[in-house]
Amino acid sequence: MSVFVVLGLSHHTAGLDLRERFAIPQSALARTADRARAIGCRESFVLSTCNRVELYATVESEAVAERLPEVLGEGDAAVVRSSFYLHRGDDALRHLFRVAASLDSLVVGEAQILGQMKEAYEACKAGGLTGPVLGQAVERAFAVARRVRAETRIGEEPVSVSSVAVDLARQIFGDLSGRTALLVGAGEMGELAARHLQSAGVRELLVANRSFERAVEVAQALNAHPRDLGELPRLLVQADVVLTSTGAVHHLIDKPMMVRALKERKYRPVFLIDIAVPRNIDPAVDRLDNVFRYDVDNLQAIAQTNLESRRREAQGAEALVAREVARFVQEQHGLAVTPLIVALRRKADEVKSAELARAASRLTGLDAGQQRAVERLADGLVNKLLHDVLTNLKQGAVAGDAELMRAARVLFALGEDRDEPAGGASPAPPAFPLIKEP
Amino acid sequence: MPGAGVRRAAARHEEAVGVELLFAIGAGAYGAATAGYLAALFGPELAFEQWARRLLTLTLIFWAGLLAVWAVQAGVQGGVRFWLGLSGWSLCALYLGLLRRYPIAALGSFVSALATMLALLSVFVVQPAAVSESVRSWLLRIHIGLAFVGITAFAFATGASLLYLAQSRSLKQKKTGLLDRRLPPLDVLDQLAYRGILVGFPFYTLALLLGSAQAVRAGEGGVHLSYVLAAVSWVIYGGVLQARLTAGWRGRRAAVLTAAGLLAALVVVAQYSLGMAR
Repeated sequence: MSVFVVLGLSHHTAGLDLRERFAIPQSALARTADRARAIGCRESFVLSTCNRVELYATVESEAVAERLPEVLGEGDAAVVRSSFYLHRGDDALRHLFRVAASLDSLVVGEAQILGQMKEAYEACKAGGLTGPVLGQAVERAFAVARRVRAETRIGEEPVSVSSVAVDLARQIFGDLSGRTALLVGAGEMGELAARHLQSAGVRELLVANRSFERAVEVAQALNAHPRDLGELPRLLVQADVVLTSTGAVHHLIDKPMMVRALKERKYRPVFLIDIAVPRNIDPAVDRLDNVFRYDVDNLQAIAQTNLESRRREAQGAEALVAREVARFVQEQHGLAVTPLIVALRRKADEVKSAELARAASRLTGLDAGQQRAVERLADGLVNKLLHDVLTNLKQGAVAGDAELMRAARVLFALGEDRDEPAGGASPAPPAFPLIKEP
Repeated sequence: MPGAGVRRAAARHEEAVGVELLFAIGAGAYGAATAGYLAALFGPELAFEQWARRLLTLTLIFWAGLLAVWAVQAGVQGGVRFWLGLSGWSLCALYLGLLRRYPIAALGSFVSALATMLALLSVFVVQPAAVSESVRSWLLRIHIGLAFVGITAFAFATGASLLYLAQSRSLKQKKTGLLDRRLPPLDVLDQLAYRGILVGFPFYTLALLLGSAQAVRAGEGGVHLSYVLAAVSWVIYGGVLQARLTAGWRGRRAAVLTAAGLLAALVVVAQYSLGMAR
């Protein structure tokens, strides 16, 4: 019997150094999954992101499952055994669904993981390494992940300082494509936030720094325009979004400077993002209409609030995932009874045909109508007798009643070889033990 | 047996009751759309917004038929009721039209609420027979039409301004949440408010000029509260527009004044509609 398993490590279980050590480049995912096949896995796919490395597979025996660490840790199997988790059956399935729905992510609700999983799965699928069990489970996990995003607000609110800043800029200006942003200072955080603004569509980025050479350097890296810090009062008239991150110990932008700039910009709103500590912008500018200033604490507070909101949404998403996992498992069990039902029907048809043939030799002189009536009688008897049997077998399969399946085989004398599909491949029993819908 | 005159009077009464019922149903439909928009704005379920939008669209179709029938039946004598209905209708139609271009879904709660108010006012509006004979004056008819066009534009500007105040306050308090992200961007609201005033002001100015001419022609001298309020609203909108055009004046104070101007204009409308002013 094949069992669905996952072997992996993630940000929950391993530090960055360990994750780096076992990270697998995109180009090598299929090759790694192929190693799983070499040790006896029927199907496999490998996922590797900055927060997790995981091998999903179906295995035929516990012995194969025991050898899985060799796949991810060539020469490091002992480390893998001590640091990796191994989930089987419904636990593995639940894990797959949770990862796809971003419920297991470092930032719960982030959207990238689904795309990364799809890429990884497609790479392994293209290599012929996946199959029906894995395929159905993964496709369903993707569908459930899409439902989670559509039916909950898990990914609606930004949770990083940079994305909160971009979100606020959109609340003020709407479309950012016609806007000018000014980066004051050349710190790493400022550059990161500026890149976020650029990717959000800001038309023009200006970089001002006390050292003009450094401004030129950063501007080149950001495809922006360098400016001298002495031009700041004039730049405040030009820029709609101002991002400050200098090491200055005094306020670079104070209220009188902002009042003059506002007048010159005809009171068009301006968004000031001060991520410097100590702050570069005097908080007194808050009293000015059309000036919106946020410092790093303000941004972090919003990010934290949003994160808590995501966690609340995650509870609803967890319930949805649990329901879908249970439903998927039940469907799989329902499918597993199909070969037994086919065999039973086939046997009943054989018995019916044989008895009809025997009766035909004794019932001579029947006209065509009478013959059809006898055949209908036989059909009716078989169908009525089998109806309750098949219904109970289907219900038993959904409920995971393996004993009932075995009893049916014994009672109807259906040998193990009788339910093989026409192609000769052995039937696929469910790879997931039954779990009840919550 | 009742006489022919009594039967005609009874038929007219039944007809009037039927029309008022239709106007009340129309007001109720606007009210339901308002409830949907408010649920979408404050509640957990975003899907309410789609339902509210569909309901508002159906309500507008209903009102289009109602106004057409009313215009034919009541003729010019039903002017105030017609213009009240048309004003609410135009406001909502303008919103649905602009929704295709701007992210202003949240504005639906304001425009549908105002349309509800105007529709209710149209239900209680004085009967045509009670309106002054002077309503037959062509000058007054044009005055009423222009005033309603202007006020509809001001109403839209006010809706945008009120949302501007809510969004601006939230951004100033630095505690933005889900509700604030459902509000349109500040700049979009500012542009819509400005354009609303820009469009409405010429109509309103002409309406006031014609109204003054009519008052002089009809010999209605003296100072009435409605005249004063109309003049106040005109001065407010003129001032906001002038400050915007010359100095770029915008923001919270402009938004507050825009709302105040509409309030003054609506008091005038209510006074005329309920027969409390000449």
